[in-house]
Amino acid sequence: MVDQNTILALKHGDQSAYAVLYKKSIAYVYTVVRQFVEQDYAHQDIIQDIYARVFLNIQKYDEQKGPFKPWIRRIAINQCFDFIRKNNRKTTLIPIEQIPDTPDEEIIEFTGINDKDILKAVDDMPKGYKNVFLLIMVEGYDHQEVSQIMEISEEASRSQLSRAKGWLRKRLNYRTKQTKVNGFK
Amino acid sequence: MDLSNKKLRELFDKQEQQVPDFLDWSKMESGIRDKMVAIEAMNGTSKKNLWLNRFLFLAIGFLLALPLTCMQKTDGDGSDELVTRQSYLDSSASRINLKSSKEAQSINSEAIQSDNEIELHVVDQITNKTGNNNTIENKFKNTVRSENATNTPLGCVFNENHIEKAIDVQHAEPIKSITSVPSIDSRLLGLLFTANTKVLPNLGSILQEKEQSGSNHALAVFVSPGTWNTGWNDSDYFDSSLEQELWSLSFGSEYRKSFHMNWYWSAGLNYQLSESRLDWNNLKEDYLITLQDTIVGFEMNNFSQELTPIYGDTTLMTTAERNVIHYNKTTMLQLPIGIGYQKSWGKLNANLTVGATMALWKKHTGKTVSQDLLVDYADKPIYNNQMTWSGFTDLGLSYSLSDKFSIGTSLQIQKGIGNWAYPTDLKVRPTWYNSKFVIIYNL
Repeated sequence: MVDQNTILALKHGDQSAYAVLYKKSIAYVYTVVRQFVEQDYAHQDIIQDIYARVFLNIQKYDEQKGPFKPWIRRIAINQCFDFIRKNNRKTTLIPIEQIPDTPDEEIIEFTGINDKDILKAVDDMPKGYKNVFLLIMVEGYDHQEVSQIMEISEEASRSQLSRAKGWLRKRLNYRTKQTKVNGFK
Repeated sequence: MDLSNKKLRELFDKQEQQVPDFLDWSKMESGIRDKMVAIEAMNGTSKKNLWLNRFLFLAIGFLLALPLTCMQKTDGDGSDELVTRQSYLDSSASRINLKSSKEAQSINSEAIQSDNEIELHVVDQITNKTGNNNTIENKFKNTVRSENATNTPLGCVFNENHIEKAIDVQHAEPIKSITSVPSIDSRLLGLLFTANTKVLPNLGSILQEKEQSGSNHALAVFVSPGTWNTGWNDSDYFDSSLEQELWSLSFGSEYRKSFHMNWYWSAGLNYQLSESRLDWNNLKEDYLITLQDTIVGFEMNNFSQELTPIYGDTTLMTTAERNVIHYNKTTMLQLPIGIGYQKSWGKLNANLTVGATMALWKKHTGKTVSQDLLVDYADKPIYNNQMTWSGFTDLGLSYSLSDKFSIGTSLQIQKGIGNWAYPTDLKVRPTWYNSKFVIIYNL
């Protein structure tokens, strides 16, 4: 995504490399931000914060420890949750406690479903558990880390992941079922 | 890692959406640079304040230690004072007699001087108008440096400041007013050490000095209820009109040390609690409620006609009114230091103190409205977390119940110096108006 020369130039204080790094990475960073923060009006501000921190902390980036992409992704996710914490709106949800939770270890099979549908399904996922799902299933955080990032209990993190999986399973199965019904007709 | 997680990760990792125009580098560059400056400034301010606060701590520590050092020095001088007090105690009584009956008092002293030690034998003989004689005999042993002794036609004169140690060998009868007689003029003290010299001191100035001096140290405890003003301006983040100040209460202790005539230093510790009330009404026309896992439809088996419910989330648009009343609290631990002037009329004492107060610790709990959202102060702090200063003026009256205890009351105004706000466009300079009730103990 970003070549070593650009990183080296930044580390040596070459400010013209700011634009190079930005242009090469903005599409990726924007995609990450959109996954976690739905409010369009906030994207510009969050992305400015992300790049300000990237440029200020570029000296701390060690290419020996890993590629640049996960490093900037982690900064982006931290800034997203910084925004979410500060603008924590209490959405009115009516919990249905009786719903059987899907076991945490359950593997969701995506066989036979195309990538576009999977991405669309995750994108449509209710905000209440979408972020937990993304952090654990996509970013690889564990429940303890999620509880710290989102300032929720580990139990809530587990519960929301179960619901997210349940929701996703129903959604994908439902689409399949509808196709079958329509085919029968 | 299971396969599905890996697949998801790969999917999301390679996903890159089209970047909208407002995220062009040309439109973002200035904003990013501004943020960089702001972040660096915040980091720099934190480091700068760390050093400033360390310096202030040391300075305040020094100021606090100073009166204690002076107190110890005075205590050392106190043993010197003992010599003169006891010698002159009955002299002051005799002065009163002298005014009314022209009776006389004589103090005969005899000093036996060795290299650096003087043994003093003082005999006070007082005759009052009724003809009663009262003789008090004191013996003192004093150590002086011989180089500080000056030979005069009257004998050997010593400067009071050079008497290192005075030992009361044989006490006179204890008399109540002994502690209230102030130190003697150093010239007279020198004469006391002159052998076979009659001394009749002029005690008028000494008694006048006594009226003005009182105790040099005092400890006070106080409680001060009052009111306050948050001192905010409106900003993009906060609307100050929504928050109404209610009351404030502080309590603490204060140490006072006289340093010249009617002037004194003061330093103390003060815990301040202030409360305000947030009133906020918010009407949302299009309020979205999400109902999770509700039945959103049915699937029908065309053969059996059996209906199977389909579960999903349903959203409802409604109107919601939210009325919020919240009581917010501001607590602070303050370290006030000041300088004051006091004047006495008999048992009544008036004083004026001006000074500065450093807020060592601040905590602000509760909720406020920021950009039409109800937020917790923990997320949108009003006060910065640095040590902040305020100036204060205190005008008080006290009444002496006894030699040791006084009670008093005062009015105090305290106003924040500089901006106490968290770095936003908000300006915060709170003001407190307290009426103070105080108990003073003279040490």
